[in-house]
Amino acid sequence: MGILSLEGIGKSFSGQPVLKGINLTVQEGEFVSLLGPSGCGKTTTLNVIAGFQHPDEGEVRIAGQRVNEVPTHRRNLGMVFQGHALFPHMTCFENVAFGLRMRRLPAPELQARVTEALELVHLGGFDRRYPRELSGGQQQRVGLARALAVRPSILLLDEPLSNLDAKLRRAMQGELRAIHTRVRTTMVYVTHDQEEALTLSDRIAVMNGGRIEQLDTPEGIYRRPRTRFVADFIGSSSFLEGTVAEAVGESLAILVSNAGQIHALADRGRWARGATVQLGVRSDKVRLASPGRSAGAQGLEGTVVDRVFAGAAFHVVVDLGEGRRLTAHLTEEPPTSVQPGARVGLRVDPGDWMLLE
Amino acid sequence: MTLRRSALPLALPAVAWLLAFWACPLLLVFSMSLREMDPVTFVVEGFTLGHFKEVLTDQFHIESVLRSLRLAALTTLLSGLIGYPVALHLSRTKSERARAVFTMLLLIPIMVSLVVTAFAWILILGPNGFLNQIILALGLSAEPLKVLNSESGVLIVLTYSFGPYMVINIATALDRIDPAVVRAAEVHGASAWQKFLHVTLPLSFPGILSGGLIVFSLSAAAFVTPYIIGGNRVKVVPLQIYNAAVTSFDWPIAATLSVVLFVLAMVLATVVARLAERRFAGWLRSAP
Repeated sequence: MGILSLEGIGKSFSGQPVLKGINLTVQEGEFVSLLGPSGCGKTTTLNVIAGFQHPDEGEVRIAGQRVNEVPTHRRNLGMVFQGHALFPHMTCFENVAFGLRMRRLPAPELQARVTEALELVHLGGFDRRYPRELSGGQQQRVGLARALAVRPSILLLDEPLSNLDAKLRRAMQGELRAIHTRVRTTMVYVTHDQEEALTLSDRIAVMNGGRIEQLDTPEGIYRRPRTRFVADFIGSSSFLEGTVAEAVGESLAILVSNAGQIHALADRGRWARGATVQLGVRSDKVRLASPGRSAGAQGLEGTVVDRVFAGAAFHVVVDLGEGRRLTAHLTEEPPTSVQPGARVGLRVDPGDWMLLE
Repeated sequence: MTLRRSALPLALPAVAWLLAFWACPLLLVFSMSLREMDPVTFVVEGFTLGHFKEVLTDQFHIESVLRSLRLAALTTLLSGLIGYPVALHLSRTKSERARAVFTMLLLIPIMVSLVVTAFAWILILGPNGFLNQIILALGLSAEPLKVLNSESGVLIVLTYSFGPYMVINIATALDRIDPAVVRAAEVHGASAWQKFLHVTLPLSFPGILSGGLIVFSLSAAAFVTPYIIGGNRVKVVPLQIYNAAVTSFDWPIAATLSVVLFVLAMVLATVVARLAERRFAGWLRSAP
């Protein structure tokens, strides 16, 4: 059943649908990310869980109980906000103690819980500081301590790291992982940062246009994206269309018009001869080969349009004609003959082709 | 610090203006309170503390000072109590248009001349005014209430006239509160009332303070409203000053009353503001 379940959540703002039937079950102790571009509905989903917004249809359940009609303050949640949203008129101690005071916890226990929460985020001894006397990272950690102190059934995180600089963000990601491992609080994390979602989550719900496009482990999302949107949103990929020339078991021979033929492994679904398939490939799975040799039976051929040195990799963009382009990220420097205008062959292992819906 | 250096020349005209037309007259008033003046020849001479002794020992004058301060304090209190919910409503009004209309309505008491306002209120508060007609019709009292020419009448009209300053100051402070902070209170367990008490109210405190100081000083110095509504029967200090200066040509006493009211109002306002700030707004003074 899960600690949290969303069943067919629909929500419109002035006639404009923002959520279109969201279904999501989160297990106790799980870290689930809602990942997507702005306007995909991830924040609205979080607000529906928090009770800041009421769904037009569907059911929100926390620990099996329907909470649609339960006001926010009785849902026993914790939340970390994008801008820390600390109470500026309270010290760190009072900020962290806030939820416990609302719950009328006796003083000794309150004191212990606040101290524990502040130590968990490495801010022991900061009790008497006001929020504006702290750095951005420290403020966000107080926000986390405030949310954890109430021992929420679910901790909601709304892009908590997006206001921090890149280095601090990575450090905080590590800390967040460590804290999750330690306290095992169920966390629902909203982000538009794919790397953040991949490194932190047990499962990721990739959202697009008010729907969950795919719900899977980070590995599943990365290796087996179901749709072009998911493949495109996470990592760097190129996309092609092809026609099934031959299907033997899980192995497909796919014809890419005027560019060659490839072999792909179909790990799900059945493909008939003549069917049109959408193909995707990660840029780091594309290798170069000599032209001619690989064409026809095995591989693709095209014309180099760009060659870029990008630090850790060389990026080579190849034009396959008809406006189709494939990008290869190569860890080794390609031969000097690979220059704009040159013909090159491209090879991809059958298992590295992604067959998309 | 280059900014501070370069800003001074820019401020000079304003400083000069203030010195000439604000500080000088004020100093003249101060000095007048310490000198003798012949009411017939207007010759000013000598040096004396006698006027202060006279004002501070005269029952009549003391009462008027206390009355002024009491009226100012009550007007501030009443403006806060009535104005806070109004400000809350204003800052929660989402539609820009409704806000503009609401603000215009609020500003009417400020824009209309106090004299006009006062005469309008005579129609409401008088023995045969709307208020008494309603009270008599409802049988709440056997005879008309004497609101006009009384302190309570002055209090009502002062609140009406200066209350908008309170509302606007509080609404501005409320607008500055980050909505996420209020949500944070809610999600961590605060009911609507707790949210207000622990977050909204303390965070709007700077607005209450600035609004309160404005309303207090305006009401302590008010002349027109007590004069018309009080019918020369609610003897507040500005009225006494006027009578001393214009009726009995006793300029030193008028000056002394001015100084006493000025100093007492300043001290009272500063002490209350400081105490309130220490109690409710220590966070405002935290670094940086």
